[in-house]
Amino acid sequence: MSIWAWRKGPVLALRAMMLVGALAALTGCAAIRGAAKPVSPVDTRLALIKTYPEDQVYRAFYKLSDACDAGETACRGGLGRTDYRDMIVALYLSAADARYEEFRLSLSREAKGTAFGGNLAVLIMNGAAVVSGNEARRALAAGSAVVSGGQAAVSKDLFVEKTLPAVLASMDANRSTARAAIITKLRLGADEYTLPEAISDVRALEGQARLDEAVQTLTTTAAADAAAKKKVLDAAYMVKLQGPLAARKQALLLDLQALDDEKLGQAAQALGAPTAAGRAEQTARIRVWFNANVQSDAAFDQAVARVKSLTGKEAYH
Amino acid sequence: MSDHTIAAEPNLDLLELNQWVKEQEMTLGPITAIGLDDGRTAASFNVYGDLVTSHWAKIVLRVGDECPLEAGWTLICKGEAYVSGAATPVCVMRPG
Repeated sequence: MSIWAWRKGPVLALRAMMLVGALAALTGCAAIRGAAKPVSPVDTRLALIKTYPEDQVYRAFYKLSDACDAGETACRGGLGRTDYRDMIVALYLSAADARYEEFRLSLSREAKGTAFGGNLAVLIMNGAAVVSGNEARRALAAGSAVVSGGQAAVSKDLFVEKTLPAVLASMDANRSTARAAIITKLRLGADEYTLPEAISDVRALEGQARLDEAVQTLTTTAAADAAAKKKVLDAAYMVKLQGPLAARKQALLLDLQALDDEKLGQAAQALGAPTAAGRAEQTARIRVWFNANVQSDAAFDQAVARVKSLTGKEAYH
Repeated sequence: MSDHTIAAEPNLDLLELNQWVKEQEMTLGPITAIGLDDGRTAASFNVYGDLVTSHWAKIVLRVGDECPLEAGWTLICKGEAYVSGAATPVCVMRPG
């Protein structure tokens, strides 16, 4: 695009370029592709920026005269400083978008069915190292056990398939916010919003294309959602992890359940559990009593001793 | 009384929480619900069901609002649980 195309309203030109981009995304393509073909090829947009290196555009921006001397490159080609700033920002934004589109497409292509996908899943779930906020850190650290731990309850591909769109959407949203801030500041004159400041903001926008940032946003949102959707149950009491005792308790309960109705009632009395009419009710009450009152080896050994005349067993190992 | 609801410590990690559910299914019966109760994880168990001796239920983290079910697994319930101290959306599912 010629530098002169920007002379009569670079901000309008920038907006027009964005509008064209948006329309292009809506109109679709003749051939079916994974994504709409960009109006301006990525390589072209990246090559264009190379003709405006940072050191040169800074010198041109701060040059007193709008005009270029013969053979001079660090000049504004007749543009005022505000117009020149707007043009350079538009080019840098376009290049940043090109890079981001490449990154986004490669993520979608490579995330599934590859080691990269597995690593991405672990990165997402292990965001603990990069996210701030205890809630998010704990949630992510907990999640990593699913993907990388021995339980293998969630397939990595499935996790990536389900999570990646949300991660990408989060990055998109972060970039949109940064872009809107830049567009707003471009309404200021070049003295109030200088070219170095604008390019610094473009760099910040590029920094939004980070998986860890996206994960943080995502988990913060998820934590808020979770807080809003808490399902409350009314627990009777707390039960700690039992370890090997759980299997011994189950063995004794299975023996008690094998007793006839009369002996089952006797077992309830011997244990001190509530008695009830009906086998199912009695069994349920013994289970609940056992669960609440037998949470240690000592309590278990006492229970075994109380019913050993009924079960015929003095110990459970 | 069909379900009996008890609480687990909130600082259990996911593996420990799954072990806790397994232990309760061994001595109470099949899990039917999971949720939060005053800073703890609460879960309900059907004390009229058979004690579970294999194919114990498993808790997995919810992805969005979806449960990442594997082939052959059955969804028991969705809810929230404290995983390593954080209230987290989870799914409870059982193999086979």
